[in-house]
Amino acid sequence: MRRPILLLLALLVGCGGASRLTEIPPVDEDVDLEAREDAGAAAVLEVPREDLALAELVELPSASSMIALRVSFDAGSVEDPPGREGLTSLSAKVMAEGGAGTRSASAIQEALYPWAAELGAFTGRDATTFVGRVHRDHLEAFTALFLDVLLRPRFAEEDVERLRARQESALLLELRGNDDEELGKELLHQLVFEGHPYALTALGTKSGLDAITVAEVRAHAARVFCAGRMRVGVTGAVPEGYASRLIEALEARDGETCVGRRILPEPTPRGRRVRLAHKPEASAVAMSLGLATEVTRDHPDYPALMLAMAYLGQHRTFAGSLMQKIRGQRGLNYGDYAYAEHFVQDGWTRFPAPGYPRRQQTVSLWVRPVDANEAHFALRLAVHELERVVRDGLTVEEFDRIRTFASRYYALFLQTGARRLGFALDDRAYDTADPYLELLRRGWDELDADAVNAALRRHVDPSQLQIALIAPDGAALAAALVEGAPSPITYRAEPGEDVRAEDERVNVFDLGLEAEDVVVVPADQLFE
Amino acid sequence: MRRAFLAALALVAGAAPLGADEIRAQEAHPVFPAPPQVSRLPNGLRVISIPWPSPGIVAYYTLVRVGSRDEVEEGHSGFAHLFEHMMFRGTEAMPGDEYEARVQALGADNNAYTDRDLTMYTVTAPSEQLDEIVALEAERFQRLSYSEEDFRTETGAVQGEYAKSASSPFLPMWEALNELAFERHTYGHTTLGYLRDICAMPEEYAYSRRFFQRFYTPDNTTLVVAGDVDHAALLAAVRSAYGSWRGRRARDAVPAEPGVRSGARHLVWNGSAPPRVLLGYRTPAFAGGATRPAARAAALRETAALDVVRKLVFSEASPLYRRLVNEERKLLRLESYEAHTRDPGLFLVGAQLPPPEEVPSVEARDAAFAEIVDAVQGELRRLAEGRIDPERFARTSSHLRYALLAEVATPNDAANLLGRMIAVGDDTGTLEAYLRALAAVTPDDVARVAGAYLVPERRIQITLAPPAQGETAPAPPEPLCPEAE
Repeated sequence: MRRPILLLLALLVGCGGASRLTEIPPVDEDVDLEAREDAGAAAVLEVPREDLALAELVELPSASSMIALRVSFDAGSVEDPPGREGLTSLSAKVMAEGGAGTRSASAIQEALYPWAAELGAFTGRDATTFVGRVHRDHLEAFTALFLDVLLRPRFAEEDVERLRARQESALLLELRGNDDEELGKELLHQLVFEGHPYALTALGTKSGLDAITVAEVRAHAARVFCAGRMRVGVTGAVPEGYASRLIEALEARDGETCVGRRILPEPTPRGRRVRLAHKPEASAVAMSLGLATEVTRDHPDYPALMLAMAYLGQHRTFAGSLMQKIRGQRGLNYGDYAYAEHFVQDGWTRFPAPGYPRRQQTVSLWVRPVDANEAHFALRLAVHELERVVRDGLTVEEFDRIRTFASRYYALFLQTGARRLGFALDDRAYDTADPYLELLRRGWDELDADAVNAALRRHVDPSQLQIALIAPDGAALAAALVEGAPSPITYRAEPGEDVRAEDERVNVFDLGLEAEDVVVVPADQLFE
Repeated sequence: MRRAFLAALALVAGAAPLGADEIRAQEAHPVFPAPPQVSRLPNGLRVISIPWPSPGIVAYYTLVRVGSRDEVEEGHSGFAHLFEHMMFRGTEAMPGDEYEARVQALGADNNAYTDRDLTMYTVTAPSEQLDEIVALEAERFQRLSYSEEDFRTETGAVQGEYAKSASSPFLPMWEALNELAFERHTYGHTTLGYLRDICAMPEEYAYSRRFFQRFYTPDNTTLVVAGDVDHAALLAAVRSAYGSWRGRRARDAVPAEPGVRSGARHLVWNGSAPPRVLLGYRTPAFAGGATRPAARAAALRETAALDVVRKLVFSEASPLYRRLVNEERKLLRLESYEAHTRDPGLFLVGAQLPPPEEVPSVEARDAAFAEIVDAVQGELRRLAEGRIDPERFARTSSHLRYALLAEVATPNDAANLLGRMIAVGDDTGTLEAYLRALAAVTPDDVARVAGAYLVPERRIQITLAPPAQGETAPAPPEPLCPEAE
């Protein structure tokens, strides 16, 4: 990502903030995370520290009495040291949900309770965000707590143990055991970003989590949650000067322990291949497909790629071509969607959660669980459809339809102050020239069908598609995929002529997979 | 000099001129900027608008008072939900493809969900599209039409919905809880339905057509429209588009539950999962099934007092949570879920235990569950005995007040809240009446409801864990519907 303008305009951290440096808890002298890296591991390249001395403030004017605060750091799970996978997420959780200042974790929960205030943190691959929400009646007292969490976390052993246990359960029991669809998405990341820091989930690995010490949590927070990587966002009816005072206080998150951001390698382009997690207890096959792309929000082709993927399958809407073909015409599953960038759903909404900016992206398809007997056919249909759209492109009419839809629909992403603030912070992370919605609408205004189709072909090469499957009988499905025998669909109802004709092609569609392209792994060994 | 992005960002902020609750204070409505406006067409259709400061955006919610509660015929669990899917298949004048194209042109978030007592159709869209939304919704609610082929195909999507939920242990726990808690009432099955009934759905085309006639009637439907909307203009458009809709809802045939049950069931989970507990205590209907104002107010007070208990005992700041989760770390999670129901339902408590280091004996596993259930019951017993810290009670009242302001943040939230209240309370003033009841709850009320309802004699306990020593897990159903082969 580019940041030349910011370098000129943003404030050097430390100016006027030096006296507060002492408020950062001292780092244990005997902890040297770098020294504990596995022997033989590749050197971790970091942005030179001096380039990081920037903190940004985003203030959204609003008269709302609900105040939303967000403090995001350019520090995601890519910062996890080798052998300590999950450390960045755990450090953030211990800060946000552990004790701070003079209060224990329980005392903080007790203080927040009568205000129904929220204070939390979440970590993605490239960023960690601390969020706060409070009614302005209690802003002052809440801010004191919020600053304690960010500046004076206790890193108490009991908090580390409690939150480590929860993170391990979330990783090994809930993600690996109880949520095949999310597991499919993580497996896809392992495949697309093999050998790259994005391969790992922010929750980490079992061995990594087990190895983390309390001292390492403390040291890691001091290394990566630094003012130089920080953006502070405020919205709501705050008093005059509140936001400036907040960022000034937060600039104390600096010190000699701070290190530069990890530099990412380029993902390695690979031919089409399949990784199949064998999970005997599964009752259907979960599918995620995708590839790496350089197109992030600051890329000129971002609006075009967003539109093309919305045509294939805007998240949780019905009109996408994948949804129409797989569910609408054939009833093969519950839903089928496509994404131009990594997508995290925001709670119960159908909109993307802000706070997950990334320096590299994936284009992906999500095919929701399909009966094992129909899995081969459904996979063929999804890939066939992707290839069709990349090859033939959108017609002028299809382009007009999806552009009209998207120009209106995307405005719904920005309905609350907290969400507007989150998107605005992401704009700064990507350093885009315009706010999110304007960037898209302006881009879409300038596009035509040919330009969208050309961008799609530039960035989506179906021959590089990586395919992640969670299946009850991994070996059988793997064998079928390699053999490539016809996989006729069993219709629930007599289909139309056009569907039947298309399926004659799909039944025998060549996925182009050789034996070495399909690897079966036991699901219960993932994330170990 | 620090760079602040005030100017550029003001463009997207679309800020309301006043904070939502400032307006609330002025207009004296506890949640909305002003009281909702309510009208009723001669055919029984209710039309409600809620002013909400969301410039350019409107939420158009259609509440139909039908849910899995109304699935009274044997073998038809899950049907209200399947029917919700069918509502997206078009009409004769507007076949599925055309419906889809027109909906897409709206740029709307267009979806629906089904619950025990209601089916809610949810459209959020630019308010300039309101006339088109009215036209589209009026068309499908009055003249839905789909072929048997479309019906059979859509049953596959419902089966897929079951499949996507099947990897979570919550599904079998929820099924077992309801089954054990209700002998005759239709709350005994889940909204998603039993797998065996889902597998039989393709043969039920004729039943589905009758279902539409029985429940999709104007007197059983309420439009709740929140946001940038003028009530008079809305009403005129609705009158024109829905005025000729005819039909009366079929008589309610839901069997009454004969008594109150207690019981326990343990489920062996095939795979890994944190050991889980789900408790359900039989509680009264949301508004007590009462129509007389005094009786309704009394019933709402019981419901409100139970909602206070949920926060007092199970919120993160509660002594029980602090002890079991933070200090003793015997639980990973502890929570109580809101579960307002039209008929007598369940007060729900869920907990997750840390997984044991090694495969436990059956006795050790059961002892771990028993310790948690006893701790929960002990806390409820203390409430029933009137041992309620007045300061904690006051803090809970404050929490509930601020939580409501925080949770209703968009026109969708507003429409959904009001719609759900009408579904369970059968009156357009239910929300306000409930909030009055909530504000009036006293520690004595809390003690009374804890002693009356949250007792072992009314408790169903479902536990789930991977196999203990000597246990084997059930094989997964695969494929889900073998007879479909």
